[in-house]
Amino acid sequence: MTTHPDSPALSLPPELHAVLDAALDCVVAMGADGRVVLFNAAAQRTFGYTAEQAVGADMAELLVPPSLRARHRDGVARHLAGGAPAVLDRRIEITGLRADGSEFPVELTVTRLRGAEPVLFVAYLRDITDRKLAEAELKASRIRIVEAADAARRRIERDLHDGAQQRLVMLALQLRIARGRVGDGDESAALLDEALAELDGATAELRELARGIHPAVLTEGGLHPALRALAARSAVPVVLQEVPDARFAASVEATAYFVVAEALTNVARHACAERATVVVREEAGALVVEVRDDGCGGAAGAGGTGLRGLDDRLAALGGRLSMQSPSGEGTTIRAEIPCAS
Amino acid sequence: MRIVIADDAVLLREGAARLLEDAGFEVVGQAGDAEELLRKVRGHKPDVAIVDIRMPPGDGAEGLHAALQIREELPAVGVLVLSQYAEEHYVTRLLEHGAEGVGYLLKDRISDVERFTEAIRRVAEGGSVLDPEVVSLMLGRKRANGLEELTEREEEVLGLMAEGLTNKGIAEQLSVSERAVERHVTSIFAKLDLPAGAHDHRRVLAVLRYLG
Repeated sequence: MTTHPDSPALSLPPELHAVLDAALDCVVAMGADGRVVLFNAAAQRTFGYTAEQAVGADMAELLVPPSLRARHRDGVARHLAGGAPAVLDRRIEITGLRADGSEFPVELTVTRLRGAEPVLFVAYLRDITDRKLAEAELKASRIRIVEAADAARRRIERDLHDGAQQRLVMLALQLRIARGRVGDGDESAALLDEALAELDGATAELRELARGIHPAVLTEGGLHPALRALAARSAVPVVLQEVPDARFAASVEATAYFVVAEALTNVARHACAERATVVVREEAGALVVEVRDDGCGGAAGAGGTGLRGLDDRLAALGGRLSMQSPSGEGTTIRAEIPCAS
Repeated sequence: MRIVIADDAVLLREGAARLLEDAGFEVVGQAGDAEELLRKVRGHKPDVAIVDIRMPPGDGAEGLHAALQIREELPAVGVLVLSQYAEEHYVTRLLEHGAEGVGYLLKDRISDVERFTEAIRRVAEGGSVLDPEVVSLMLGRKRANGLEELTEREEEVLGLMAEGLTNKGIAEQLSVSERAVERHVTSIFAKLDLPAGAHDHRRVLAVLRYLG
């Protein structure tokens, strides 16, 4: 394979040209001087140049956005000078430049044709605008689902607070008034006392249920007071080693809160632990939540626990959840939640 | 004794107002939101304002903010905050500038008329009232993190001090003599290394600070 001395185009048998033109991906080849020697039909469609316009032109001028040109040329020069190839033979995502000046995301592999003399680089590219859009839409949609779930939880808590909980207080009030009018010896007295005791239990249960759905103090006061309250209610003693006072986006705070809540529930249920330690700290644009226990460890993957749902919630926010549970050494749950603050 | 009561749940507010009237209190004003509460408290200067912590327009703790404002503006007005939740965070904020004439109770306590009216009287007299559930949560956490060696009785007395009871109140509650309570209190203060001699609301603050 050689370039013809009086033409910059790569001279190929016509069948091979036809094969390249039928490809869905753009195929662009360039010599050591940076000039385009091959520009297939897909490349013509994608970038908006004819083969005549492209072949012989400087590849960087033609297809690489101005902001990336210097880097591109440095890379080629370094490679030709014997440096290690930084981009060859792997899939990378980068920005391309169309004839009309617009930029777009491309997926790209560059290879240096082995044995070709003179040097020949071949790039295979495809326009991934649609995929990028779809990914962005999917991401936004997943975040919206998490936010909608949080909003629904807040609403349910609010409705319970303003509805059922108030009604139960009213009911208790009325029952006490009734009880006050009934003498202690009356057989209705015992019934009313029983009803009042039952009602006390229901009120307390509903209170804890509402708090579990969404603690009002999380919305009002943030993670610190909410986690303190959670720790005070835990069946296993909890040390809050570090929790920031700062406020974060509602979805970030709710996720951190539910990770700790779920982890502590698991500790109480499975870990045979004497103590759990909670650390929440901001690290490189992420809120890192860690719940450690001193229990028996050896917990199966997050799949079998309530952590599975949290895994999805974290993924939706671009974060991740991991668990380490070596047998006999306790369990550590760690969540990283992106929190550009 | 003159009361202003604020709650956005009208039925509940009126029920509580009736209950208080029946118990011999004078309900001089009712309010459905924080703004109305502040207006009525400024106008009537009651002995006690009873405030629901969560009132419109917001979704947070507007009642708490109003309560704090009353304490700042009119320190002679006792403030009893009612909440559906035993929430230490609100208690801490409510007691930030002292425990004199202030209380925090779970809302369903109002049906226990005797204890409710007793709480109002204590707040009116400058004492403090803290819901037993909040105290028990604080005690539980402190125990988990290493509460000093207290006897069971002493822990009980510590909890009742946190609830704002005086020695006399504690003695009645435990059916023991006031002298016995004093002995427990002295012993607790020594064990916990708390400033001895603190009384009433200062004692509450000292105990809560220890438990916090």
